[in-house]
Amino acid sequence: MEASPESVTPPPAPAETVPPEPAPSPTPGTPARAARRGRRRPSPRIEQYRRTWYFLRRNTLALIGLGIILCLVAVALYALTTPIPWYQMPQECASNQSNPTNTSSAGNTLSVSSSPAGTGLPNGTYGWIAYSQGYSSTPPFGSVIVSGKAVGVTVKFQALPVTVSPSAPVTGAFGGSHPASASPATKYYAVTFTEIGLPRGGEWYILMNYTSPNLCPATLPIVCTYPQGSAAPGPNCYQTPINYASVIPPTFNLATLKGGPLPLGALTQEGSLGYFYNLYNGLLRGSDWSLMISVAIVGSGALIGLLVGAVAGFYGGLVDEALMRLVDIFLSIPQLLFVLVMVAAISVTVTRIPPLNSFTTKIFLLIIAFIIVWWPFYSRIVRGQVLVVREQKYVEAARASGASSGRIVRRHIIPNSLFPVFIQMSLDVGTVPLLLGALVFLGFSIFPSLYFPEWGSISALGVTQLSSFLLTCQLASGCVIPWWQIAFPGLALFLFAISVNFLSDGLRDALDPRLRR
Amino acid sequence: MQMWVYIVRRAFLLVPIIIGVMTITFALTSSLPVEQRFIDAHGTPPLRASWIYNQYLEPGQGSCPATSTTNCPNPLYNKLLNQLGLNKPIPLQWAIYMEHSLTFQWGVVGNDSTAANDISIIKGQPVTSVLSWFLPYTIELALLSLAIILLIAIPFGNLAAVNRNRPIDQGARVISFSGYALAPFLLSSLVLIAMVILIGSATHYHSVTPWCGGPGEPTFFEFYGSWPQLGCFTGSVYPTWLYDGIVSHPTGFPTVDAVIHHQYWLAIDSLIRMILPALVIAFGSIAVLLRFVRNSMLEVMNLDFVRTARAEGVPERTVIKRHAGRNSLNVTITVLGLTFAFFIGGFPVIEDVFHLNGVGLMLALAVQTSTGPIDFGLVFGSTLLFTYIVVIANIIVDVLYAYLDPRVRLG
Repeated sequence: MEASPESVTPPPAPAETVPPEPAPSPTPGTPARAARRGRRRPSPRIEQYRRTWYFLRRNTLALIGLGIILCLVAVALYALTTPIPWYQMPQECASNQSNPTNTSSAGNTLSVSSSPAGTGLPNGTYGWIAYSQGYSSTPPFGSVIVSGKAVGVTVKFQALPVTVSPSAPVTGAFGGSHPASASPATKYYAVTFTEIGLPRGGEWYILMNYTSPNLCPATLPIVCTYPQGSAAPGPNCYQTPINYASVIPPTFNLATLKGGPLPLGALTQEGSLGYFYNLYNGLLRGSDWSLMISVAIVGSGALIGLLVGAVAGFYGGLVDEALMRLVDIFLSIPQLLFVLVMVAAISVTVTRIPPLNSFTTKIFLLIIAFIIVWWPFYSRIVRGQVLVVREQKYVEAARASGASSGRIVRRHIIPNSLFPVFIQMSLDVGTVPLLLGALVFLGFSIFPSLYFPEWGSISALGVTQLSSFLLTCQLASGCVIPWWQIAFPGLALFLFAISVNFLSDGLRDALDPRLRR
Repeated sequence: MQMWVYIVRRAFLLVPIIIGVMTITFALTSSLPVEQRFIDAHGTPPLRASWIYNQYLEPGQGSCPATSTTNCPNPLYNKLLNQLGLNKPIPLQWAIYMEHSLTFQWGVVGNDSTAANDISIIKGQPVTSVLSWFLPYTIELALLSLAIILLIAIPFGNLAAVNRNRPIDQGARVISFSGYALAPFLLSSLVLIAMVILIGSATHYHSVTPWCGGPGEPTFFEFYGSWPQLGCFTGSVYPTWLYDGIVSHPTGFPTVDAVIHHQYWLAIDSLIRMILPALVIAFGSIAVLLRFVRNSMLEVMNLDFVRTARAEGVPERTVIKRHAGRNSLNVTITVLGLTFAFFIGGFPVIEDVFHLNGVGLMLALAVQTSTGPIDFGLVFGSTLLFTYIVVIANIIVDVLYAYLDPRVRLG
């Protein structure tokens, strides 16, 4: 994999023994200008690029990484230039839309009330409480609560989001076809009750309160008829149309899961991830979100860290001490925790400040929180490098020829301490989506990061759904594990991170002569 | 310099760091809305949201409709402002916050340090006592995974360095890269899925306490003992069973407690439950450490004294073990200290996935918004706790380093 030292013929380049790397010329020699000058006096910077590429080319893993990254960038560019029809940012819930009494239920309560003419349970509100959190699964068991007390009956509940069209009436799980009068585009939400011990007959109104993907509490009135003595609900058990199109109850689309061994159709079906985007489009859109967010975070963090580290390393003394203690403080808080705490604080604060409470601002604040976490790493790296570079002869020469300290930092010290920063940056670009995914995994449903298609978030959602599904799924009864929910986003995430790692490892070997052995 | 002088001097460097971390949490706390801070100061019952909104505040009730907070028409807002001490100048608020933080009153958000307000978020218990219940489990898990890290990373790093560019080295490299690239939540969930496919159920890893069986699963007490069953973890609400006085927990470490109660099967069981999570946590750190051990070993093996030892005819095994291995240990320990924050930061996710009864699970539950508002008292408290752990671990690493390398403490 790696070039062995014997097989490497040194390229026509400056001697490798110059530690740690040859200094780039202070005169800006752009590649074009250097090329025009011909082979008369090759610019050291060009030579350095050429030499880096020479060694990188011999590192198979790095080349593989580079290839994968280029592919991902191509996909991201394609996604950027292609308007994806479903694509929309989640609309923030306007304040007059939200129903304050519903915010506490957070999607877990299903109120069942009998109809006025019902012959079933006495009048009153019956609460159904899911024991799993969120709405990531379809919990098979619920307890019925009558006037605040649990009743000794077991209600099996299954919710299937289905899209029905008059031409192909849905049959099966919910035991009947919908009325043909329904318009084709309407979403229906089918509910199956398997009740044990509950009196049947009459009409039931099922009120389902949950938080929609755009964070608006929503209520779905569902009208079901249970024929006398029948275990299955009647043919009229359908739901009244949902108010807005983006409200799709995020549950497993069991109908598509049973399609076959590799239900690739499920990838492009709406709700295949259970949210307002499907898996394929989410992955496509996620390619540019992931790349852009990672590059923005890591780039800005590195820039800040570079400035701080250069100043601390160059001036030394009290400035150095103060800045490095600051860096120590930031570094002693675990990275994930720090981001988590900041995002939690931001998400609560922002909801109280209407002008800030938009999707764009929240993403912006999320990026800022990440930058705050990220810069100290770079400033520590840069400072260490600056301390080495500061003592070099060329810096001394520049100082002797009367250059100001700002010029020395700008023209000599920063360019020469850049390469560990590049390596660390290329490593960290792969880490950002992992961290974002961990945040989503820990359950920030307030924050819209859960709802924007980014690979880390998508795979975290897939993982959450899959593991809650596994808990309720009996393998013996033949339910299909929806492995694609975790496989495809996970694979994208893994490929992105590992290719970035390959590339940065190759870069390190190519740029640092001491490691190249 | 004497060793203890070095330790004391190193410990003094902690003071600015701890003050700085507290200041950061203070700044984050200050950014919260008044209403939220009131909620934090008053704690919540297991079903948090309904309790808060019914008994204390309707949402938005404690907030100020006007943009200027100095002349707010909402009397409740002013009352809260007064009660939380938010009408005091910021430096004074900071000082009060520092005092609370240093005296371990971590649930207290305002300046009201009466006993009634020193409750945190879980069932009216102080944050520090809640954290102290859950800390032993985390420590036990951390020690186990640290042992795994050291046992795997050092020998394999040395092996990879000795067999450079051979299959062992390439394998170590692949492991290391995938450790970087596999997110912990992804890896742990894959492990759980593998458990389901292999064993048929993941419930063994889904009970919080080792003495709780999964749903519908007999507990170990029903097999092995008569220790009465405590309440078990069902649902997403905070566990409320701990330390109800049924069973004594002399140390709080599950394995040690089981041994003290002569429940040896239980001790083994709780260890078994910890092995998979510990492996998953260790994987990321192994990836980092393996790489560094290999590189530092390569560097050391090219040094003069190794060549001299070889020239003198010292057996190769002894050269690697005594001369090179011992000298590359310094780098290992330094890297371990540097990655400790990363290591400890993985705990919330892992404990959440495996439902382990540690501080990380508490943190994960505290930030989950599906069960109610975020518990900032607990969030900030566990942040402080994790920071302490990192800082103390760094001190231990430094002391070890000084012990191994006399130049550090003498220079």
